[in-house]
Amino acid sequence: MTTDARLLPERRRGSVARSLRQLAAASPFVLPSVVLFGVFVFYPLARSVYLGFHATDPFGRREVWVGIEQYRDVLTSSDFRYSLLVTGQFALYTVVPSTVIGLYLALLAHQRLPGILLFRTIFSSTVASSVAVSSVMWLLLLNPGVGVLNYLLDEGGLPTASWLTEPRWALPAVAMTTVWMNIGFATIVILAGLQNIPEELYEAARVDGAGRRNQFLHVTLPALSPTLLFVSVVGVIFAFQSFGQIHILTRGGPLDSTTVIVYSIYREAFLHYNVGLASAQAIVLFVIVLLLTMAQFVAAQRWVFYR
Amino acid sequence: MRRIALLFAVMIAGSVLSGCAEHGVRHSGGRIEVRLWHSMGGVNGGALQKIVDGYNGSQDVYEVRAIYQGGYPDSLKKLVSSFGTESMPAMIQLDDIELRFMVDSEATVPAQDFIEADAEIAAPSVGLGDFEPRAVDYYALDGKLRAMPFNLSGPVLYYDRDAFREAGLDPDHPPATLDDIRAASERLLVRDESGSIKRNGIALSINAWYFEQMLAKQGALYANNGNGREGLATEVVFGGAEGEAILTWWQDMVRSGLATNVGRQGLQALLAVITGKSTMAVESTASMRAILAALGPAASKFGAAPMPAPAGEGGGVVVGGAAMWIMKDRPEQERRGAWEFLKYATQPQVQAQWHFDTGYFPVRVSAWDMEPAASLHRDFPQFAAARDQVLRSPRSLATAGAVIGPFTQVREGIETAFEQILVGGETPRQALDRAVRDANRAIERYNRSVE
Amino acid sequence: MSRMKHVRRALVRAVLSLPSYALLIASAAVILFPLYVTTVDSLQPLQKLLSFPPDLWPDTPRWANYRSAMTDIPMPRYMLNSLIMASVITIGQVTTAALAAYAFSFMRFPLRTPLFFVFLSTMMVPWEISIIPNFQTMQRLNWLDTYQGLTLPFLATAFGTFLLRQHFMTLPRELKDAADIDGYGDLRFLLFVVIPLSRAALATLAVFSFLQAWNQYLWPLLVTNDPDMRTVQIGIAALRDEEVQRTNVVLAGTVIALLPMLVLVIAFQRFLVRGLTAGAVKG
Repeated sequence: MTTDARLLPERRRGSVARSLRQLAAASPFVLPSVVLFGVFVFYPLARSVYLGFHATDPFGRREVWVGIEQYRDVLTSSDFRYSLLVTGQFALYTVVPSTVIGLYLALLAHQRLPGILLFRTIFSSTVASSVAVSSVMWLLLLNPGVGVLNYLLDEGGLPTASWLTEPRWALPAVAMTTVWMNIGFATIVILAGLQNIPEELYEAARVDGAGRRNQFLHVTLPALSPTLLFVSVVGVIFAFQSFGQIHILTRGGPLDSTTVIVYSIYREAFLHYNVGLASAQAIVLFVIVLLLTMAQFVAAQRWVFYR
Repeated sequence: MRRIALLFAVMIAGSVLSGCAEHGVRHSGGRIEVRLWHSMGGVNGGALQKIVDGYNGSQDVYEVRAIYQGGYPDSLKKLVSSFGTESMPAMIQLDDIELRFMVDSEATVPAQDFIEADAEIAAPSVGLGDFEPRAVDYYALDGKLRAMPFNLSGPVLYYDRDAFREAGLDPDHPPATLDDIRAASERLLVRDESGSIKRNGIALSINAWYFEQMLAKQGALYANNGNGREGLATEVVFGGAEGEAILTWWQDMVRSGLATNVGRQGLQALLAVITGKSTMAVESTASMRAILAALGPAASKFGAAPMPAPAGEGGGVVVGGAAMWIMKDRPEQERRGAWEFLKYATQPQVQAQWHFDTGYFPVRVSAWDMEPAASLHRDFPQFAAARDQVLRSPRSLATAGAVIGPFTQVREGIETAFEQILVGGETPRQALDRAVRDANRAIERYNRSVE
Repeated sequence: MSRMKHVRRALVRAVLSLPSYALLIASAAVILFPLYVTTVDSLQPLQKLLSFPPDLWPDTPRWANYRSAMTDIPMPRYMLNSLIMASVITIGQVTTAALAAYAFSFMRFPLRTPLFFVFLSTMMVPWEISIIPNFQTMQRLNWLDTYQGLTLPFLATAFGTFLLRQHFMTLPRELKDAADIDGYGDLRFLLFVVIPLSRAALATLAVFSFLQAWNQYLWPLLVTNDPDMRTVQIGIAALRDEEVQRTNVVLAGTVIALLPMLVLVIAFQRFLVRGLTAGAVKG
């Protein structure tokens, strides 16, 4: 026993030295990322909270402490709540169609047919189209007078509309542009997910007598659920960060019907020069997104299958 | 927290190429470079470049570089973000409503300072006398001229003369009041066999500027404290009967089909007249030149008249347009170069050419009668109507224009009010009250932040 | 006899897959339609664009539109700026992600798990929070209108770190043990063993990083005022504002801006899908 007691302090000292050595070895590998995150992610978070507590002059020269007044303004402002609604609608209008259409295209592209690579390339091509390129393209397509969309609708006997200037249709129109942009990415990711499903699962199902439909419902979908979750989560994140399409297509109008939160923050900070108020909006948004993400993961525990 | 972040940033800076120049005079090819930020796109941009080239070619000390920065709001946003950095230009062209904002920024040198220091201009034979007095009224605050007026425009009513004749209206006496417009529209309305409207009276676009002009034409004020000129404006006063009359008329016209609402995009109203969907349109003269030129021989089909307004006494139009501001934070030599350029650019001959190329009113009264402006008026008599409207506007606080800090936000509120009454189903009174409330809140917040 | 059977079977298979091909072609047509219309319109003279019904085939292609798009605005300069910005960001992201991913998969050190969660948490801080303070930082450092201003905030990526980490974790432990025995340090192991074995994952990350960086809009909008520093995306949005009437030229500019990325995506097709398989995407 006495031997053990004498040994203890030395071993503890040795393990501390080893930990420090390990830390020193790992530092150069993680420090670049950590420093960058510190400056460009965590510091801004703290600074936004700070700015939210201050009213700023339009020229960026002075900050005056105003306590929770701006946070309170944001939470009680009907404009902010409306733009939360708009953002939520926008997320719904983009994530669901993108995922469903991505699934459809990925299934189509998963078949073993000659020339399938060509179609795979075409389906994923929209990933090359940037926000600016897509928006300028669709701006012309959606033109009520000379745009092709209204022409085709007319030919097909369907009703037309002034897509970007009617409060009812502006958001769906912007969402349609976004969905078109997103399908490339969704297809790629879901296709990768499909290729990951081991053939054995299908064989086992066939042995059990499952037809194509049942194979799809009981093998494909469950096996794809992590991928579909990933696509939805990424889709929601992109939706909440969407700015370019709105800036180019509608500038937040008509009647604020396309003013998503990012646009509202941008407008408040850079067009109305109220940096403090804009920061308060950003922080409130952050808290909401945080709660939403946690809710999504809780839901995922119940719906997602992990092998 | 900020210091730690700056420490990080300095660490990074140490290992990265610094591309920043010292905060000194910019040079370009042996000359002092004077950057001008502007918002003249398309044809007008070319005309501005012509002036810049003319100036650069006339001397060898300064090189003016004109940079297009998008519309006025985008340009202003970039200016604000460039405060304290190397990015700031020596001169910037901004629209009239930014007057209060720019003065409060304390980042500009008033044109008055340059004028008083410049022996050439102070000489009585030149002086400011020949400058368009209403523009000088606009940009002067507390007795000092703050910016140099540069491109002036006004609102006019365009109309299809042939259509007028067909409907039995006299194309040489177009409607002047809103009631006249309504009466004329009823006669100009054309339906097709199925009863739907093929051509109506007037195309209206949503633009707060038209609202402001229609108020000024009734001699009504926009903001308190003498439109913000006798003291700091603390609230708006456009919520009265005059404002409501405008909105009510607008709503009635659109609802009854006599007018088309073409939304907020510029030029859509005029396009409706050109394509025959409407007979009249209110547009700015800023694009008059480009449009008339594009129409070619068909241009004579279209007449121009003073903008209509509710019948009222003693009113006129506000001649604001846009002006050039010289920034304080640039080296003395660049500021001097900017001033010399502005003196050149506002010479009567240069302004006559500018008017010919763009249709903007010249800032010098004598330029109207010089070539090539004179020949422009011979070819396009529409310009005469625009000029008359200005000449007949009395000089008053109403026509000098309102001076408000967060003007852009106030305008947004007005345009929202228009949308509310046209597509949103509110009454003019409701929409107007809300616009007033929002405007006052914005002004209160602005004034508090700059005091 | 068996030859006939083969041919008949092939024919049957072809006929059976006709519906599949029909669906494929129809879907492809819908997706490509906007690109098609844009390209056609970019080659039209202006009057055709304003006519109704719209013309869907360029009878007389007007290549001058493309020349206008390249010269009316400094498009080559914009493309250069985008190229530099995207390349710097891509190299930065691949480097920082590879380094960090290596530490998370092959190294043992205290605080590894908490640090992992720190990385994870950066993905939850929305970009909206960062724009204003990051912008102010660049202002204060006088780095507006500079390449460092355009690129620095994006050089680290948690997403990329996780992507690479997933892949590194599939490499056998024995490799590290063998390297240790041979006296390889961590850096050498990473550079000479791990990286060569991870080319697909690295290529995928590089392609996605480059795409995302090239396509950025809001940040370059805020951080550049000087037209010499503008990127392609801001350039075509500005072209659209400036030349509102000349839609054909604007669309020509759009096609020019789109082409490089389209070529990239087509050329690196295999990496896009393959890099995400092999256990990479599991939520």
